[in-house]
Amino acid sequence: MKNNLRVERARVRMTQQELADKTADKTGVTRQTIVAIEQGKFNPSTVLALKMARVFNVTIEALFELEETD
Amino acid sequence: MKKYHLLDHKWQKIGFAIFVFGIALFLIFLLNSVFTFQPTQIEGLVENYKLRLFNSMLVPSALLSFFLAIAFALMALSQEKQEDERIVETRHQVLPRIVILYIIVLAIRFIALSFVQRLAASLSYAYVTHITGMFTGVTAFIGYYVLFFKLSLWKQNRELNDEE
Repeated sequence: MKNNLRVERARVRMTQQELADKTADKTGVTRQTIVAIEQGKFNPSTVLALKMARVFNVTIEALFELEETD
Repeated sequence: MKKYHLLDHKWQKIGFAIFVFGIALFLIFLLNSVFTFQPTQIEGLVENYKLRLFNSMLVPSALLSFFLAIAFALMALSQEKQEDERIVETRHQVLPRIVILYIIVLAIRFIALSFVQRLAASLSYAYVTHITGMFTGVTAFIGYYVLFFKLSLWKQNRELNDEE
């Protein structure tokens, strides 16, 4: 699964830690998890993907897209 | 708020403290030979030494197993400092690997013990059948899980130290 997380983050000038803090509620998401998602090493759950889309104020499709191999 | 059905992170610290205590206790017992039984039926310096060493291991290793069982269980069942879904996935990935590792360790242990028993039998070693491993059964399994999980997480986090 491809994602435009890094691009969106750059657009709003947000660090990985800030995204982790804003995405998470009390349970928290680590900065390493944000890195893993950006690098395509970890696919987030639907809830987490939706939360990230909400942070950037974009649709989930604008943030994540399927690849041929998926 | 997402629930992970795991103990709070503080229990991991308590588990680690118990682990350190268990190891320290084991070393104290081992160095002082607290539970050494004096052999009567075997004469000779070498055999005497072997028997003392062997018997001195029995009770301390049982105590160590007790502390390790509690320590590993607490560490395995408690959350990381900041538990999230990537860490939960890592937990799931580690489990099948541990099953394979555990089977391999059991096989090696079986072969090694067979060899030791055969060797000891040829030396008329009286208490050879009482040989027990320091780590047994479930304790070892949970211990491997904790070790592998921590190593996997450490390796992952090292690889994921990207720029801000």
